[in-house]
Amino acid sequence: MKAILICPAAREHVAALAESAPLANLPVLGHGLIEHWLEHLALKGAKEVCVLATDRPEQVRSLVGDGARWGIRAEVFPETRELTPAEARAKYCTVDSAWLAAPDDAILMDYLPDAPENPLFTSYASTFKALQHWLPHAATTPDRIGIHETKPGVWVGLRARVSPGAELRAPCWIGSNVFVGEGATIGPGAILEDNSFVENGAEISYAIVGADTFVGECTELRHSIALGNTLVNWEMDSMVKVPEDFLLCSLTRREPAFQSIHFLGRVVAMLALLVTLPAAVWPMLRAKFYGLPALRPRVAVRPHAVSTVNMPGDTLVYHELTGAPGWLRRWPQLWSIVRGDFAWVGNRPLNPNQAARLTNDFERLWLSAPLGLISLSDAEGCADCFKVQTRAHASYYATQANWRLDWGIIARAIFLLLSGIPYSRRDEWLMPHFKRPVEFRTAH
Amino acid sequence: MSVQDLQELSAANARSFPGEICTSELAGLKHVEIDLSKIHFVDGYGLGALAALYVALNKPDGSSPVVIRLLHPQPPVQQVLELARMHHIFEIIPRNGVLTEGWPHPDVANGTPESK
Repeated sequence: MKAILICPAAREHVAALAESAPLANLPVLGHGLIEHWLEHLALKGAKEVCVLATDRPEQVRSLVGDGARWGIRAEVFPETRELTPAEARAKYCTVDSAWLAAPDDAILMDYLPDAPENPLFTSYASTFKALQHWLPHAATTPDRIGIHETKPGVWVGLRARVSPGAELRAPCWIGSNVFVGEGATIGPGAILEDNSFVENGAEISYAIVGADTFVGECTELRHSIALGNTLVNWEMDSMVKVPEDFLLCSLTRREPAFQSIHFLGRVVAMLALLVTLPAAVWPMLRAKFYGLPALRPRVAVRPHAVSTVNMPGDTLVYHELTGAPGWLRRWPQLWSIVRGDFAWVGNRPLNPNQAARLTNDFERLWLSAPLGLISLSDAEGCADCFKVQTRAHASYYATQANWRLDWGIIARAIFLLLSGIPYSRRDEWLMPHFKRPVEFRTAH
Repeated sequence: MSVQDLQELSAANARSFPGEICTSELAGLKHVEIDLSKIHFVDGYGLGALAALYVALNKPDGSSPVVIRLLHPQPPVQQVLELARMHHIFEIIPRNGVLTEGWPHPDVANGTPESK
């Protein structure tokens, strides 16, 4: 018996759920969504399952494998767009094979098994409601090992460690390998997915804590979905990146948005920092004399690849030298290069207010390039962030960045530093120096 | 006292923020209102600045408490404030005018001001 599973493609209303993995792989009460469906189909008698994936099919394939875990044969087929069940039937259901009876023969996985009345992905609130509704069912599936109901409505998974002083209020779900600290209050309506860590004194109610998520000490999560450092309020339909790891963060390593700067580049930055230290000392002393901090912190929106969800809070802090003239102000950013936050060449950092003023997708390309000490705009003498030309340079760099362009920018920046004129306007500098001798010869 | 036109509350201005407010006349001050409507996000520095302001305006013995209201925070800012439990020490007036604990803001309700 055969069946088709259609993986949901991108869903605009729940974009944060698909930030790190496709929606088909979304952890739902300990198992991925597709795993629940494969188990459901196996119980229905399916022997072969055809999985149609639009979004990141390779990740779906790595989770599904060949389906042997469920005693079935599963194969993942990439599709260019999300098919409807009718379209999938028309394309894949061949007459010569036996298929499960409709509607189980072709299923779009935007709800949990046997719960079509609770859509998963129409909004964050619907996701929360669907999981809460399915909670009792999740504990009774045949392949569930180790989950036990410690008291009515409270399920605790395998190897979970709940401190004696923690309070668990029904209904709540504690996944496998979860730690709950002293004095924490979990529930009602709380779901802690596998490998999450809840510090002492935290309060979590009507909320979902995603897998591998750290919840800081004495924090309060209400009406929220926490996925790493992404915090979604399903009641307000708002989302934010929590910048402080001690409040909320992911326990898995963050994948960098861009290739990290070469080790040699960091070494050169360190050497440059030391060599130019004497030049930076005087502005620091002068700032201290006037009672100002020597290094002034600045907040920059963290650059991200075009495909990732853009949300407030994804920032990093860098520094400027207080009161220093010109490019010397950027001296502390050499340390940012050593740390890997900056590159030698990139787009200049934007604070959240400036980033919010980028008006269209072309201008927002500014944020899709690494942060740099020197930018193309610098090399062309465009210092003002909000000139049209500056934004155009930044967007051009984001689309054309390569090592030749980077070296060209460095060379132009040096030319600008020495001559005071951008390289593109060098004729204005050269002409006055060569014109007069020609005129003299012509006159005679 | 009302603080308007606050553009950011982050590492960039967190150090100076409490000092700028406390330079004003504080004797007899009962309420401080801070308009957060133009702030897009707040980080740990910003939370620390708010906490420092609270400590600066409220004496340890609890005499002459000063109520600090955070007006109309944008939803992402409100999320971070609630995550850090700032709504237990500040009154947060969301954009719909209702206090987070369900009490209507005195300026919004048509009647006598509510008190907690």
